[in-house]
Amino acid sequence: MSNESDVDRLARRARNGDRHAFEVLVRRLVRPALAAAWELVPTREDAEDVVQDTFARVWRQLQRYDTTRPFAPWFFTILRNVARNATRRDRRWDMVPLTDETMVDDEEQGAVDVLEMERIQVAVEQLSPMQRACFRLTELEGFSSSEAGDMLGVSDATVRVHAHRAKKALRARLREQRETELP
Amino acid sequence: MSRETHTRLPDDPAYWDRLAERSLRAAFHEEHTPWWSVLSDWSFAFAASAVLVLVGATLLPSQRSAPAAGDPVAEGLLTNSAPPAESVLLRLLAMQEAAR
Repeated sequence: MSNESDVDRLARRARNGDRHAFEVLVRRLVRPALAAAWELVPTREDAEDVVQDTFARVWRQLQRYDTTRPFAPWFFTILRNVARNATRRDRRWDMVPLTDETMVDDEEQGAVDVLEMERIQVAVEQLSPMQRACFRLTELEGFSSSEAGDMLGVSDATVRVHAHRAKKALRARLREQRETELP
Repeated sequence: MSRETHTRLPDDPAYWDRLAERSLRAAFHEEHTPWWSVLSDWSFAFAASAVLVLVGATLLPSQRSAPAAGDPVAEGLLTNSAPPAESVLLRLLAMQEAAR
């Protein structure tokens, strides 16, 4: 995932029937695939099943991959379809309407550092699905907004916006929690 | 905040190897799936039903047209010639005898 063109090259070779290239591709994408799948299904075991089924489907359908386009968006579209079929929770990915809140403050970058992780985990679960996914993938799992965008099928700007909103919401919730805990 | 501390994803490289292997097995195994295994249970049920209907449709008319014992028409037929199946068998036996 770190080198897009490398992934595309592997995908092209795999499309031509190169099994070794496909193996390398699987090993390269398995971690982001699980991260993305886990945002769509409730448990890690479910996510593992989605990952397995996705790679199986990708291998079957590689001939349909347009090699003039990047591989990752095509791959994660299949993954989301597999997850959607598995859960039949189509409404989960309904998008929150975007405003012009597209700029991320520099202060926000370091904001997460000061939050306590145990409380964050609880608060994260209360976020909207898209905010939760963007926050987890970029802030906790270390993927770039561009990579997370491929995983979620949205632009990197959208990821940044949702991650920004997530941090804002988390900060507000954690502040509330602290205030209620005070004697 | 370090990713290693807070990530939900497992840190164990062996875990990722196993998941990759599992995915590859699924991909390459499905490629060699025999055609009959892709048929669903419903397809089998449908096929079995179709076979039963065909067998039934074949047997019922022959039972209806089978001559009853004591039937004068049937007796006439039976005296004139052996039943077709028997005739064929007898002919085959005769051909075998002749070949020896």
